Amino acid sequence: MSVLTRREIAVFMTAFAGIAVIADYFLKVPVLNTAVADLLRWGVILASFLLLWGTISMLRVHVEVVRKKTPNQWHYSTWLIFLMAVFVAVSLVGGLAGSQSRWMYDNIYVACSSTYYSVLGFYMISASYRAIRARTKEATLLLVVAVIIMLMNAPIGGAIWQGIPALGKWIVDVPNTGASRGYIIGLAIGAVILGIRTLIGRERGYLS
Amino acid sequence: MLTAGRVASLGALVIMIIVYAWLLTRARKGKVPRIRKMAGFDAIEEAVGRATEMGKPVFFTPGVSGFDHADSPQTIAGLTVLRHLSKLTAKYKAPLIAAVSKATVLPVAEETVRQGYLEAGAPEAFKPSMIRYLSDEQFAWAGGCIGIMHREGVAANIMIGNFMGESLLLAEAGYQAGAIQVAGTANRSQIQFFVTVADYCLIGEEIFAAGAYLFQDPVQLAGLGAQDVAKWVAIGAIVGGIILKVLGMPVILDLLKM
Amino acid sequence: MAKEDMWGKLGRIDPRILYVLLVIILIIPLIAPIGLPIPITSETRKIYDAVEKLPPGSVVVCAMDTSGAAWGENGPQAKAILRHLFQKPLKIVVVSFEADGPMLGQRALLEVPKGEKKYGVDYVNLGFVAGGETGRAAFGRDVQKLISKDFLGNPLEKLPIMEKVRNAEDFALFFTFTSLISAVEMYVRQLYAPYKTKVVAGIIGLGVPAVVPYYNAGQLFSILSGSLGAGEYELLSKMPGEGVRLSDALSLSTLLVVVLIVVGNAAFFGDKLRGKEEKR
Repeated sequence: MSVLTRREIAVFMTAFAGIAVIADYFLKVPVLNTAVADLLRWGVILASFLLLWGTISMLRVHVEVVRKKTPNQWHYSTWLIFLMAVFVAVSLVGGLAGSQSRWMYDNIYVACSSTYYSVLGFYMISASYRAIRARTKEATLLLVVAVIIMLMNAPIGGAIWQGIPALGKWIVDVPNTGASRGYIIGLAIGAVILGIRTLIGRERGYLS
Repeated sequence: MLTAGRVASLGALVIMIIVYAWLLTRARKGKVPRIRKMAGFDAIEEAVGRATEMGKPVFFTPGVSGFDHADSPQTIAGLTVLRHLSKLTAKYKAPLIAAVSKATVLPVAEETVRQGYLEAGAPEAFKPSMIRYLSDEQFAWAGGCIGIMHREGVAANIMIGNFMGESLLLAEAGYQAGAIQVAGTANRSQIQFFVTVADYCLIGEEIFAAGAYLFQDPVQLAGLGAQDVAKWVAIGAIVGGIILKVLGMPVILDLLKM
Repeated sequence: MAKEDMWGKLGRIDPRILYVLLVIILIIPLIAPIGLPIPITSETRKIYDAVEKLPPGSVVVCAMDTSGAAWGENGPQAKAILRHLFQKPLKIVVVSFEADGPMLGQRALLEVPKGEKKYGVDYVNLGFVAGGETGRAAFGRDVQKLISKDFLGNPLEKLPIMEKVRNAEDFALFFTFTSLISAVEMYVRQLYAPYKTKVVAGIIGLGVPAVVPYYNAGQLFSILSGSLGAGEYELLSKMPGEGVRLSDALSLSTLLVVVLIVVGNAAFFGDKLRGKEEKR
């Protein structure tokens, strides 16, 4: 196997970068701080290339689907490749800030995205009606709190009863904040342990 | 040389590393921490069994994130579950469909499922078409997942990973398809949808215990142990800090501000 | 028999009927606005007062960390804030750390009135910075070393506004308009923790309970809550817009959900009671 593709090199690079950034957070050493600032900028450049690589990977997958004429899929992949080419061409010719790009973006992409996100509203209705039932004590508590918070987040809550905004705010500020803080601390501790495992090379889930 | 205000954090980090190293040494000698039962993970086998009886596929997704996002640990947790799931689908001969949202996750998911089938002794049953890369775009991917659930009539829907606005869409679609659902995410704003709709739910950090629970990996078990120690220290600091502050001695608070 | 059918029917309404109800409920206020009063929360007022008190020439950053999907809530927020900012003698920097952000930021800039403000002198769109948290950290450290050209392709050294924008210590206020709780947490880690930057989270309504702990701990300066927060801000700045228009639809749809929850539970308990009567 090529030396460059050995996993140990990837693990070493991960550990080196991770330890440098952690050290930079705790230590005020000008050489280290400057080096890590550069490292962060390299990270941004790498991330930009990763976006490009992701696009190319996605294209490869869809071109393969079209080539093999995978049933029920290849029409959609063809349409995707076509639209992608049109977006890229329009953006390259007129610029991303150009009126044509903006028109396509606003009237195709944003419209489709917003529409799909809006489907959530319908599913919310059916899920709320079907699933929020007072079957147990805990479910009843969930139901009551959900109704109060929903009403708090709409002007009609205050119109129905003046106490709803204040009650909702108490629920958010006291029990929710307390529980969230415990959750955040737990997650943060877990993230630290995962980070330690990654830096010592015992977590390799991110390597393919 | 040390940045002001971060000395306490550094101390906490060093202590955690030492505790983890000690627990790791113990774990390698076979002295591993015990984990409580987690119904969500146990239900995965039940879900696969149901799918086998009905002759319908098991649907899995590790969420909407890849490996370049702050939530990538959730994706890794999801892929750990996928490895366990693929061993079960190989064992019970249930069809598996795994849908991923990122091109970078696709090869890892393929390798994970291939490995699972190999470990189950059925490498010939693995097909790359089991893993479907749908779209990088969040709602396009969600739409694809919903389409698969309805068209293929999945009997089990397992969703472990990072989910955002599409979580309720997927859970409700799984319900409408008649699937048994096991869902888990560490995304605070989406857990309530899974709790409400899914049959079994893994809340928050429970998904990160996947490797430890399902594979009894000593490294991960030691990690859980270290987390527990750190949590007890945090609880002690909070309770002790409050009591001392009320008594007019904000020692712990001052220590944490160092 | 009629009683059984009633509880049964109430508990098993076809979801499609519910969907049609929702559509009707959402259309009504668009045709005939109800005009329910919108109470102003202390969090929104805090943001407004902070902007009013900013010294002339202060740099305010608006990070469009949103997407096409969330633009329905983040859009009114961003526009409400930008409208107010453009009325003041401030320097406005728009930037994005999510891929959809720059186009939406440009859209918001085009849709709000800018008075006499000039691009490159009073406001700028710096475009997209990749890398997620790495990008945000690098932005906070040194904007000029990170970004060489703005969204329109102008070199930064040619833009007078950039003389005042070097790093996070120059930001008087930092707004993020996002649907991602993780984005807010990244700013707490990369801007508040090292530089004590005042970060305002313009987040969708769903995400507010998750970011409130950071606000209560003082790590977030304030929170703008969804389209309702946008409506509140529009009223405070006396420039009503989409936020106010959407509030009635929000109220009616919330009411519908509550009514359906009550109906569903009534049917559930009715079924249970019927079961008990039959056993007797």
